Amino acid sequence: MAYSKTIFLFLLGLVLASVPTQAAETDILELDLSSLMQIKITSAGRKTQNLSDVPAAVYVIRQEDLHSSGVTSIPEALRMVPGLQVARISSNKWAISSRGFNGTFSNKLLVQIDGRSVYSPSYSGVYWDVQNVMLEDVDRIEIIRGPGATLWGANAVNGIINIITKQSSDTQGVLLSLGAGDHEQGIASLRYGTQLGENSYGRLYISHHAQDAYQFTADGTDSKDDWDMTYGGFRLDGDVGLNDSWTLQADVYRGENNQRVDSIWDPHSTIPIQVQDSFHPKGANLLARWTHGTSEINSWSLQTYYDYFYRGDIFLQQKYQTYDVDFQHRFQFTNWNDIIWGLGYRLVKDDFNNTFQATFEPENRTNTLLSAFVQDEICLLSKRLWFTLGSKLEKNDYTNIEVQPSARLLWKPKENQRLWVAVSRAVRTPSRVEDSGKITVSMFELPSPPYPPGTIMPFTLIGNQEMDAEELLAYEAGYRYEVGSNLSIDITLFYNIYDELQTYQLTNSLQFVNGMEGKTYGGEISAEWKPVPWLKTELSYSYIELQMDVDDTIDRYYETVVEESIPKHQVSVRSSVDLNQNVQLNLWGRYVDTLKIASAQAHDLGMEVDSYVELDANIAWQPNKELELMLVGQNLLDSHHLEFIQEYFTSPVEIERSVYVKLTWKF
Amino acid sequence: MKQSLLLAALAFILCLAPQAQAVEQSTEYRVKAAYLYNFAKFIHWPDSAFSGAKAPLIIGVLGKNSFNGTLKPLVGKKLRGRIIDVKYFNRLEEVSNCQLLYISSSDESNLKQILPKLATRPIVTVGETHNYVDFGGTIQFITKRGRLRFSINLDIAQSNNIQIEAQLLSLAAKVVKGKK
Repeated sequence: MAYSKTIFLFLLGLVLASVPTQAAETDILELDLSSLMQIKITSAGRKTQNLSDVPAAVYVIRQEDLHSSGVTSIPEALRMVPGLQVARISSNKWAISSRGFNGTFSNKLLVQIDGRSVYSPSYSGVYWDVQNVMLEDVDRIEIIRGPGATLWGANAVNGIINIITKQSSDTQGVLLSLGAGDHEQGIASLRYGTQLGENSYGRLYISHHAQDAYQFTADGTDSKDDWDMTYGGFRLDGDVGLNDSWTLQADVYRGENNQRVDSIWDPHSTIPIQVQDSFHPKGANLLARWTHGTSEINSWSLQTYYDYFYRGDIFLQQKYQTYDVDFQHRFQFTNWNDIIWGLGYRLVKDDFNNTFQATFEPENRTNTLLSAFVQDEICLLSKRLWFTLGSKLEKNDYTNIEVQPSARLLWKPKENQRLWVAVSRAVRTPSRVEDSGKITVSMFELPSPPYPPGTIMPFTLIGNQEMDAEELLAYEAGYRYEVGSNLSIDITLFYNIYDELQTYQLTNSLQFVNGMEGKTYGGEISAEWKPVPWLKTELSYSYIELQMDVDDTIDRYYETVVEESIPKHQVSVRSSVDLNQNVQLNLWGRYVDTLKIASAQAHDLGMEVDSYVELDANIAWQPNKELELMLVGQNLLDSHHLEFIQEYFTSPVEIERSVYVKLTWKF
Repeated sequence: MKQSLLLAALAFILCLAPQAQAVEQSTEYRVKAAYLYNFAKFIHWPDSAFSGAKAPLIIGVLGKNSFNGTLKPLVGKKLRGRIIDVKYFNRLEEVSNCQLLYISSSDESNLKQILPKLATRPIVTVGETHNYVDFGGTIQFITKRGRLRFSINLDIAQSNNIQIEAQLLSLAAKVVKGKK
């Protein structure tokens, strides 16, 4: 604490020392042509406006939302999205899902950073601790709840998260930000952007982020889950003539991640070993994109990327290399058809280092994925009514060919109102662990007689090569209403029917099987209100109900865990108040309902995760255009609270109240 | 207790909050105004384009006026011995004596009728509609990476004896020429 106080005083001194220098309002009229060509005239947010015409449950986190919320990571930012369930498991783990099925291994969400898929093929979920982007350089995060498989493909079952960073032409100059607090052990980011030629721009960045450990729920002792991540990269953007542009970008990261693993099994003992694990995840990627087009509705783009991923938890070492090529073409056919079609190819090479705790058979494998899609948006009534029909066709190595069609209708009865309905089918194809993994769950002693005394056998969870894809048939409807220039409302309803859901069947071992069906229904409401120019408020409410039904051969306990691991009601209220031209106050309150049974471990422990109300608050002071000082408090209402209980490996951890201060300097 | 204190504090702050937010003038049109001024600097009209040797150089705006006074500082500035003046026209018929004409993008279908009527007069028309220079406009604004650029149809300019300096041409994103 004394440490963060010193930093605070230091930063305050720094700010006060730099006397506010109002940048002289340059007279644009006197500028020469080459200077005029450098001035930005459009705000980056403009493009996202037409998202209100998308017949799907779309939500956008804009740069200003990221900034004003005071969050320091992508998962924390996702808490503001209606319909998403975000629960922090520990300092370096999150459980995040869309419209149900949350858990450490939640697997029905597609997450992309600048068009690069980041969900792990080993379990179809996302390692949120290594999804680092420099938040200041994020343009927006687009979130679609519900299936988006027609355009994005398998795994986009319950939602898609597209993290989009700014073009380098929008990140010119130097940005330095430094922050620290009690939980935030150090945030340091440096970015430099410049114009490279008449038609090309670039940026370089490096960032470091460290967070302290929390505490165990059981005894309040240090949970030793502190972690840090160092990442950096570059992005280049350029234009060739009026109709072609290109992007080349790359990132690398390496971190240190700590966790206490409760149950590592030894082949010779029925008693689990507790280990303090420390490992160093690392990764790198390189992406290139070429876009040709006279306009957004008449264009094609070709994108390719390579992604390297390494992670070495004590129970499993995994390495992935992904090569991906994507082509997309959009064009107008007559005045009524807006057509998009595309082709994709992905090759994933995995390499595991098997342990007694977790094995993959074979230890390394190469999987390929071929995909094609076409979608036609047909204008039925000019400027009023559109019908969108499309389908994705995928060929994967687990379940061969999958078809994922969708039909959507958008109606604009008035310029400020939109009504949409949709029916779509989506699938989640099996992951590597469901297909060919083997995990030791416990060790037990065989009865003696007949076995010799002390005969020990592992009890395992095993993969199943007969696994089929999980299927979803989704019915959705939505209504958007801009009541006036200062109030807008977005309402969505959904009814999802699932089949062939993955669950566990007990034979000699526990085995992954397609043994559950079910339905979920609910809705989300969000409203944005700007009564006066200096006040902005956003309210969102989400409701969800899950009804699962396992096959007769399967323990009903598994359906209960899925049904009860989700908060039925969630509320988020965010307000930004401009106290004067230089000072902004931001408040963010959240309510999350009880999780009766967060996971299998929660069931075994007989522990509920109580409902909670939390508040984040921050005050940002901008003495001039270059500098900003921000004081942020997170989870202020309780000294600590529980949000989730992980399925295996680690004990429940409490999320603590925290405070940090951050200085940002742009020039 | 803690919550109510917090609410009280919040209420207090909300009451204090002053209503201070300057309405930011549209950067886009300030930049466009500066561009128009720069175009005038690098373009040479034939004497026949003016009503007399001392006649002003007139910058016109046809259709919806989005400049909101950003052109006003140009009025009275001197360029090659001529004083700059700014005029606003609602309809094509009103466009009389004018050298540089900004055509507001309000109606694309109108453009196909307007541009041929202006094409034979020594007027440099500036627009921003897609394919504007291909329709017969002289200069088209283009937005690239959030920044304003322009392309030039040199054929139209030359057919009216309007000369455009090489410096301006070299900065154009695209120059249409030799199509006639």
